[in-house]
Amino acid sequence: MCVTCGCGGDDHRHSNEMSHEEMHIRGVVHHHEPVEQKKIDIERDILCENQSMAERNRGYFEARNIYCVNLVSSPGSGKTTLLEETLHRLLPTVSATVIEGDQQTSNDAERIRATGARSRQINTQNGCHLDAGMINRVLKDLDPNTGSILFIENVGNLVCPAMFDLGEQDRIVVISVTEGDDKPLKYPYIFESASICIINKIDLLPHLRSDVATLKRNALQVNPALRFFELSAVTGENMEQWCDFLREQVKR
Amino acid sequence: MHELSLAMSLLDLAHQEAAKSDPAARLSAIDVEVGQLAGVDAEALRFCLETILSTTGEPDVALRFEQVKSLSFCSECERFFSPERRHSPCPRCGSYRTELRRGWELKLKSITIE
Repeated sequence: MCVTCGCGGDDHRHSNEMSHEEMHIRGVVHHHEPVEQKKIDIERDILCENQSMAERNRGYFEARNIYCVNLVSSPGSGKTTLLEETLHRLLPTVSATVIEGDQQTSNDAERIRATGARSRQINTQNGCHLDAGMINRVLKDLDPNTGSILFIENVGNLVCPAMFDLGEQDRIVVISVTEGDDKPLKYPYIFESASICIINKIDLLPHLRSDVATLKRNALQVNPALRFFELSAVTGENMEQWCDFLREQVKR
Repeated sequence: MHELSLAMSLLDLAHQEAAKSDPAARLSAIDVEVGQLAGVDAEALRFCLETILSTTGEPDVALRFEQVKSLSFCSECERFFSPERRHSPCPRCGSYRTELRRGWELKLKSITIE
């Protein structure tokens, strides 16, 4: 009699003589040591990589006394024209560089270069926003001067750029009066994350039903600390006020 | 809209943390905290995470989401309330001078490895 299992014969193998794999192949019932599981607390923000890169950029700007703004808006709000007109007014006395973000083409960077300002184009391809790492990579090459202004023109999109800090000192949301005065309520995240709101194309107001007072009231609902500039880049109305503000920022 | 890039960042972070603890570790669960007003669609995020995990050979990783209820502080009447939207006014005094203290989170809370 088999002494291991008490059966009649000796012509079989017992589980203690088999390898673990063999038990699985033969379907022999056996115990498993429980797989040790370990829970690790992380508690980290998912955007922390971007956030720490943004802080590095911010430190770079601080050390060089660079005033960096991140311009966000819908496509067609007039950001590039606003930049061109701003640069024409600033460049004689203030040093300024531009980083252009678009999904494709370098058309905007070329328009900016025509003003005499140095610029770099970032094509995000399938991306819907710029992130702090993209800015960091371009910065070394662009090498903006100490005491200058760096304009970052983000991808035209009111949704995603709200979540990505680039290290800028001010985030400026540009809205044209043709977009309707309830836009801040429709896209609250971007208005909440901005510190300045530029209301552009005010020369078109006589032809429109939208109302600047309503637009401002709606924007203040989302962000009571928002500061406004109402201007027209095309006619030049109030452009000096905006440019004076920029000059003040690099004086300090 | 950007849930795929968020899902990729989240999994990068999870894999980095797992490798820190044990280079041979395999992920078995991920716990994510999503604020009610984080601007992230939890279902879209889950779909993106599952899609990536199926391409990295880890389809069995359990994904657990915890929603964080929104909590705002009204600087006018100095009370807390739970806003339905980011720009909801204070239900007591109607002020918009409010600050979202909780409910904006998008956090990798913990991972479980084996």
